[in-house]
Amino acid sequence: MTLVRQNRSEAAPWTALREIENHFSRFFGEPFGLVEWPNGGSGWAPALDVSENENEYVIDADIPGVNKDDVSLEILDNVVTIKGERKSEKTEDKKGFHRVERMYGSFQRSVQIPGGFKSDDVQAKFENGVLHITLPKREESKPRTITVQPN
Amino acid sequence: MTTATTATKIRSIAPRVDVYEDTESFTIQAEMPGVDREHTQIEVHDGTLTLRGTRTVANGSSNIHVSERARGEFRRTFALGKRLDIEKVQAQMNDGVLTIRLPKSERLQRKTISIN
Repeated sequence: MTLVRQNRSEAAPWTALREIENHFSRFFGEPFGLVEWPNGGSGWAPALDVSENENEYVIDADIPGVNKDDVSLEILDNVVTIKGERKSEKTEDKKGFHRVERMYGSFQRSVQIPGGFKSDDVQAKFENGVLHITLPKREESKPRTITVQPN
Repeated sequence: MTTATTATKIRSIAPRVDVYEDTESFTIQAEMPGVDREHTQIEVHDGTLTLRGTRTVANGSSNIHVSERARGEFRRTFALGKRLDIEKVQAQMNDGVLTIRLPKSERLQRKTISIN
């Protein structure tokens, strides 16, 4: 997927990423945020939260009903890609569907982290259908306080 | 079971659901990632089943860049009809998916009688 533009001079990288995604007809504000992904109608994309504090960046992705073994995390430069597959648990003996709103099949999303992170120390935890990823900041990305020297 | 009605409150959020039927029961599967069991309520009343609760998304005091995950109160109501044995409704939360199984009344279940 080539959704993420590697443009370091971008003034507001987070905004830029969202614009790119909007371009791909992403629809925000859906109930619990699961959206169609325009790759032939077979994919979907989990809703994400991205935040940061003094020491780390945090990504939370909603991927309910996905097996832990069917999720993978890829890191390339400053870009984190979450990909996986929600397998249908339906079996042959199901007689009829009255409603199918949940999305099955493969999914993929990328987040560009401006300023970078320590890629060797990234941690991911999957709990209750939420993938929680912490990306520790590099020293140079942490906020620094500079004291103004008196004359 | 007739098809589900959606949430009526404008600001409430509604989990996505699948509803299907097999010979013994109806099953509702609702996506509720990150919602605790304790914050979820299933109410069977007057021929309807209502699923409600609150979803809190912890972000602390940190700086938020992207916020797509829905939060707040959610609610969905389903019309049940009279063909279910509501005393035997079972619910289970697994990997952020709530599965509610509603067994059909005995007389509705198809039985095969073998000929001797």
